[in-house]
Amino acid sequence: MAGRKEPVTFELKMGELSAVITKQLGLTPNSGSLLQRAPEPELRDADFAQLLSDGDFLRAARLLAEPDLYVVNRIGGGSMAPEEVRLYRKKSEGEDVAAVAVAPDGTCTLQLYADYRDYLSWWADNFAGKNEETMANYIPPTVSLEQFLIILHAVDCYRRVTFTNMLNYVYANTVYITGAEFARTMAASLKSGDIRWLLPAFTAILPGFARFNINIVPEDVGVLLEHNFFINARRAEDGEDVMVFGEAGRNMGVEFYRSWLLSSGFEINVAGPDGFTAAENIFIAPTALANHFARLLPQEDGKVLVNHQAYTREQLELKLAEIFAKTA
Amino acid sequence: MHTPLSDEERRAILERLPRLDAEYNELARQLADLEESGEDGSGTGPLREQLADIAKEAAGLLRRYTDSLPERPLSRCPFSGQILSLVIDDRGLDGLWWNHHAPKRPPGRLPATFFALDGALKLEEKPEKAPFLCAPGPDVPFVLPRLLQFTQVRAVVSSLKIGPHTAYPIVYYADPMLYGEKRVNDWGTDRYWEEGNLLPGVFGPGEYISLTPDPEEYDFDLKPWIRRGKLLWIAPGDQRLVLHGHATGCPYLDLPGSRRLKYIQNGEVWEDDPEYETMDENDPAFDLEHFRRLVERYEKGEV
Repeated sequence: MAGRKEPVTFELKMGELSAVITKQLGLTPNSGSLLQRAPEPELRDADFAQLLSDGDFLRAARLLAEPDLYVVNRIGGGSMAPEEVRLYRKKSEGEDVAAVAVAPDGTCTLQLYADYRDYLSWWADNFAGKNEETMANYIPPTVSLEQFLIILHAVDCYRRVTFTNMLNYVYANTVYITGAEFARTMAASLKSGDIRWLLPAFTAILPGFARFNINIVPEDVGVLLEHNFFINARRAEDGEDVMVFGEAGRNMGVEFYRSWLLSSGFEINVAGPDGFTAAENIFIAPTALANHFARLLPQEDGKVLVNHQAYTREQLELKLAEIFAKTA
Repeated sequence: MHTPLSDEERRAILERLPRLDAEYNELARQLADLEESGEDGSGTGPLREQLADIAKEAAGLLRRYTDSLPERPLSRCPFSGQILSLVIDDRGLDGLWWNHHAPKRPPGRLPATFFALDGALKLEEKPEKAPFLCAPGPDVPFVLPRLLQFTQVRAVVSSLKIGPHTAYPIVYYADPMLYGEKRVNDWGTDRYWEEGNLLPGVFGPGEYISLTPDPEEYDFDLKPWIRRGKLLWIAPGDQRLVLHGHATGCPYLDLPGSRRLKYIQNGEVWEDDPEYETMDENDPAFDLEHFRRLVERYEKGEV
């Protein structure tokens, strides 16, 4: 995305920001605003006169306090600690978007972007994969959320088995795992919240994940066999049934093992008559080969489907722009 | 509304329509002669009535035929997961759906991402006899790299039976949609519908385009395309139309059969031979006699 306009940036403590917006400007944060959960406004002797005369700050403050659309963007996982940026838009204020990130020490960075495209451009430059060539998408365009979680764990398992083999000085041409080990480690992985692994990263980095009901049944594992993540086999030495990594499991496993460093999640929330509702939930895991893009599609029966695509950077940018434009 | 025909009804319609067509053409010729000779309206009246009767009967039979065609789900969009259904004559190549120059095809259900429909067909026994030209493609599935070069285009190959024969629809999808680029003739036909505009300022948007690819455009080596994520496949007989992106176990690789376009008419089958297309008098292999025979056959309407 060429021609990005750099945002105007303001930095102050969260309590100060809350105080300026609620006490000085007299704005009442709505349920979409981060300020609803902000600490009690702190008033100190600092002089906010300069800020209060800055048109950009005043516009950003109004967006932040009274948005009609907000986006939660989490970034992290792999080898990056999680961060969160929230975007705020108010149609009556025009195309401008306010972005807010709060550091652990309470310092709040407030930025005013000319529109959401400029933010997406900044995000893509910093966190999207740069690949220009297409690659195989081993995951069908729609699978159930439960099947998707199982596939993510299969990808993790390749790395896990490879590490285990290395630690045990085992060199194996054929990499495999038992069904029991797969099930045991998946439960442990989900429980761990360890975002160095893809499955827990998905659950932690995707905003709104906790809202979805997950009901994994044994049949869901069938997706791994149907799409060549695993091939059923029997171990020669003891006759035990094992699952050997197939073309899809091996290729995705190697791809993530060697080149996955971080992921991003987006939740777009839109104001309606009954408050804010999530309109989109998106997870993106870039690697050296593809931007793995997962879009959650809630169904009327309460189940959730996942549309996964392996995008080039250009495809990813086009798709995100399309989704944001549609929602906005 | 889908109202199936019995085999006898279908055969009767498919036999009756060409006769009506011939009768119509003969009467139309007579009418033109009469009008040319200066005959006033009173002499042409009965002919006009006959023509109208034939046209009415033919239109009724055609409607009966198209109403009988089933809607078959046969592909799936690799971007949205939506199913693509075609209203297709899968009872044999003698159906008018397969008429190369004048196909009778009711609209199917196409996802918004549909870009182009191509296909291949392997004859498993002698083809059905039909008076029209049928061009169902080569024996084995293929891709057109010209279409797959676009980042947003992917193809899906699947399989279904057309009578006793094995057909391979190859559907191209685009997300976002690609406008203003040449596509390819709809499978088995000499045209495709272009929603956009290939030559802005010359043609308006929405027109039939005829684009038969050169034989060199076909790529039958599918594995590299699967590996690049440009081609996905659906297993033969899979009612769920599950898309596969892995090359392992793909049933469409290295299939036996001819890689040349084939044509069928009146039960006779012949193949596109690129060598005939490039006959050069200075080429030692140039066969003048064969060329003359080919011209004669062409002039008689046999080719």
